[in-house]
Amino acid sequence: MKKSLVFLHSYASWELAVIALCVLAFLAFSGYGLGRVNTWRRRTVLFVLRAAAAGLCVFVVLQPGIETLKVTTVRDRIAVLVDSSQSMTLPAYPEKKSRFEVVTAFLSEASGLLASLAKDHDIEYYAFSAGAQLLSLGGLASVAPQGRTTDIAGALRDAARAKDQRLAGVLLFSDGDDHGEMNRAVESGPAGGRISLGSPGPVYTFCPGNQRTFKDIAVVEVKSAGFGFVKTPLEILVGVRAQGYSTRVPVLLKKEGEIIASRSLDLTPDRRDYEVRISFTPQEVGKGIYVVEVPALADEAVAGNNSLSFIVNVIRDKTRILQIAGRPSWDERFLRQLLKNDPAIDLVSFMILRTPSSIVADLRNFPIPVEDLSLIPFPVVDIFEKGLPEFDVLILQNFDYRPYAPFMYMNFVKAFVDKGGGFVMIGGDLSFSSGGYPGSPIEDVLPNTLERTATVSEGEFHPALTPAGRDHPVMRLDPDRKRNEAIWASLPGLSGFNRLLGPRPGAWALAEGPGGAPVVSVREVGKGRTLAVATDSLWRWAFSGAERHYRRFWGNAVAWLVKDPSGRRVRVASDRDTYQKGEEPVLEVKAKDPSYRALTGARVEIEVVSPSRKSVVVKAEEKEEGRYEGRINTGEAGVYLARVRVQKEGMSETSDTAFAVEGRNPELEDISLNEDLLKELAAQSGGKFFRLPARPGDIEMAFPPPEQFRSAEREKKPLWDSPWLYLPIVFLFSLEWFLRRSWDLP
Amino acid sequence: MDLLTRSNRRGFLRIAFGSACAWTLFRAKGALGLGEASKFFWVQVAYNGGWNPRPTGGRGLLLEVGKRTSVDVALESRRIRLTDPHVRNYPFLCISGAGDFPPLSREEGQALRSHLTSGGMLFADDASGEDNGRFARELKSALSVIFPDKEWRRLPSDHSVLRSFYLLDRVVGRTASSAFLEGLDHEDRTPVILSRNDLLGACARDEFGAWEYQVIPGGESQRETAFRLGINIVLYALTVNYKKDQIHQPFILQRKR
Repeated sequence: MKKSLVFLHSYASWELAVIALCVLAFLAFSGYGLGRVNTWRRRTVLFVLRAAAAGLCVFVVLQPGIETLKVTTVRDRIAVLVDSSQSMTLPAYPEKKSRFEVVTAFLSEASGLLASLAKDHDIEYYAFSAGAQLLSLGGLASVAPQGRTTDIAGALRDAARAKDQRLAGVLLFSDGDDHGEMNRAVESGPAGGRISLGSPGPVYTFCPGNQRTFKDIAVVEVKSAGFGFVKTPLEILVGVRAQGYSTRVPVLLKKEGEIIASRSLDLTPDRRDYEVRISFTPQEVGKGIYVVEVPALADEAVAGNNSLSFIVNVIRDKTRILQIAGRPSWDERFLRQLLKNDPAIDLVSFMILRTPSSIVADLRNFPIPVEDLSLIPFPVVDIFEKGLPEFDVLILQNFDYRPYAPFMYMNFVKAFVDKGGGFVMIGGDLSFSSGGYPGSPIEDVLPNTLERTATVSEGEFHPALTPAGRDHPVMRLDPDRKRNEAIWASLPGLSGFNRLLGPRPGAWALAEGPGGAPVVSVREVGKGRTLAVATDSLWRWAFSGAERHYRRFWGNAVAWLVKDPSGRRVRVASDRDTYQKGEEPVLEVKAKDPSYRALTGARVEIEVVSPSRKSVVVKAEEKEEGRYEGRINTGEAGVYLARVRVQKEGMSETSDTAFAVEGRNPELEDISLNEDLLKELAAQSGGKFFRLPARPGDIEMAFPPPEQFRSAEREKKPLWDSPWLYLPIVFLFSLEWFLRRSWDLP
Repeated sequence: MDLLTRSNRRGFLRIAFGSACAWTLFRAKGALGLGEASKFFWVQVAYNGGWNPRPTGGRGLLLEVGKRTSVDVALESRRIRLTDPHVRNYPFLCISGAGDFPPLSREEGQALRSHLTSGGMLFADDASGEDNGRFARELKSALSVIFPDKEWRRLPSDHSVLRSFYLLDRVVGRTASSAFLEGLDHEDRTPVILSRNDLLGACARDEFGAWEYQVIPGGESQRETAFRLGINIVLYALTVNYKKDQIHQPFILQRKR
């Protein structure tokens, strides 16, 4: 409270002038009257007494009073903002403790510092990520940092607006991993302008950890088209962020744990972001999960961000087929025309037009110059040694290899099949046992064993579907089973076939001729598949009104040989490619037995591997014959791999699919400390930047003092009516009378 | 008498020698396919008229095809009417004549059109050997009725039939009256090829193996070229545009220089 003397009545100027004249007149008369006092000392004393009394009278006339003014001092606030986003769970490198723990430990040690601030300011504690939440100091320590984003500017504004009480300043504890306007403004530099923070006071920033000693390598991004063509190079762009290293690291591209491509990356301390181009050639059709990985170094702050998964859907552009025919024939001609006219097939064919026993002389027995011929040398080496891996399917059509290729070259064909190639042998008088294949590496991959002595059967026949053939995709000329069988029964008859022995274990005879002799057989060998067609008269279907079925048969055969996804025995698919976090993808599994009949009563398990490599096994339930369903929980964002295993009576088949869950956490993408942002914020606001851990005693902060302001409450108390004011007047006059008497004055 | 005896003996030896050679030749080839469907037959189309002016021409040609190429041929020629249901057993048909050619009936026309558009091939040979022979004129007219949407064209020098086995720059037969072949195209092939030079006349042999007709004006070298053309026609029927594949182009271009 503040008291002051005031005059309660406001006199006009002329009134004050009259009063002053009266006082002067009184003093003048008094001085004249005191002229008769004999000593100057007595005159002075008497005059002073009279003047004082006159002054007091004037004082009373002016109506004095006491005005009481209530003065209040208002306390302001200091906000302590603690970042509680997920990035604060990361280690405060080089400390092993998390960033959040380092901050709460400091706050605990700095109780004295906070107490000294609390003398003049109210201290408020906030946890923030997207917005600020007011807590107590004790409540702050029990916060679990789970915020999915960080908005420092928003948190500062929230703190400023929280109460009417002025914000004197802020203590900001954060790693600087901001995803809001603060980061954008700092990144855009001075042109970004200052941010309106709502806080007039200084911001003291505290960063848990040391950016200079922060070491980490992270794979932050993979740019890919999302699809590619099988056996066609595909390029991806990998974004790598690295801090604190000057070394060379490998950037690996993996599929199912195997390294399929790699590049070297030179890291330098003055650079943070890198782009790496990696080219690879997908070998299989279907959806695949690929992983880009930089092997973690021993001293990295975080090892869990060194890899990133992505999905590539590999489709077939064109199926590459190599056809080698032992001679021109109608069977070769119609098949070649069919494959050549298929826009989905890239065909390369070779035909033996002249054999070593062909006569090379003309009618007059003159040798025919080679220049007169359009024949080219048969490129055995180019085909068997080098070219085979470039193809998806090899067809040997009525081809006796012996005059053209050494025995050992057949090993190339076997290896081609083992590594996933499709192989077809088509019959004729130069094929199977007649082609020198018994005992060759090719016999090892054929569906049938071969008789050592070539035997052919002539005569017309109609091939009949075997039980295995009824459901096999190669033989499906119509999706409906009954119609399919009717079609097979109505096809034009064939003429002649090579006699083959029964299918090997694991092979299937799909169609048979007289006496149950296999005419169409299939087998899965290594990673590849083989097909034997033991006749050279299938062309009759094409020429005799069944061209559609001829085309369908070979289309089915090629699709099965190249393992087109439509022909797999076990297929799994999610109902969508992309989901939101929390959704439950439904995975549908269609299973068929080795003879391609719907597989019922199987044990179907789905292993789901989450982006963080956690694995969960879910059992799928059978909904219909051969169709199973399983539901998956998705708690993380990223790419999930679902691997299905179907088991029944010794049969075990797997299939994969992948899907993505959106909702990536930006908090964990860039885990480095952003000291620059915190320093800039402190500089702009007049604060300072500190690193933690730090000793509270080393922290110097200055905040503006709290403001005081006068309250609107005033109280006026008059004095002029107080009797105590008149007593001095009476005393003075009395004293003058007494002194006059004492001095014997009139 | 001596002369007759000598002639009979000589003839007998010719026949015996020819048969032995033929037998030896084809015996050495080993098994001859899985059945008749595998072989290449010379099938002459029969019609009401002079449909078979060169009865041994086809066989004579196939003899050389069998000797010089890897094609598995059947030496016995066949004859068939277009309306025969078995016509679909034979993708290659030959039609020839020396005089008039009667219009095809509706059934014959439909059967022929179906045959050719399903992958079959027709070789037409004008046995008159004249540039403007009546057979060729009337046959073209008859086929234009079956294929009203197609036009006859001269086959260019780079047509696949002229490089399917031999590289040819001349079109000849028993005569050389026309310097080019003619054809009707369908999709990416030429299922009808017409020769006006009596190609089969150059290939015809009598039962003693001697040439039945002289080849004019080029003599035996022209006959050889005629055979090469015939072989090319057979190979074209079986391989179509195989020689247009990219892999053959550098070789062909180099040899044609």
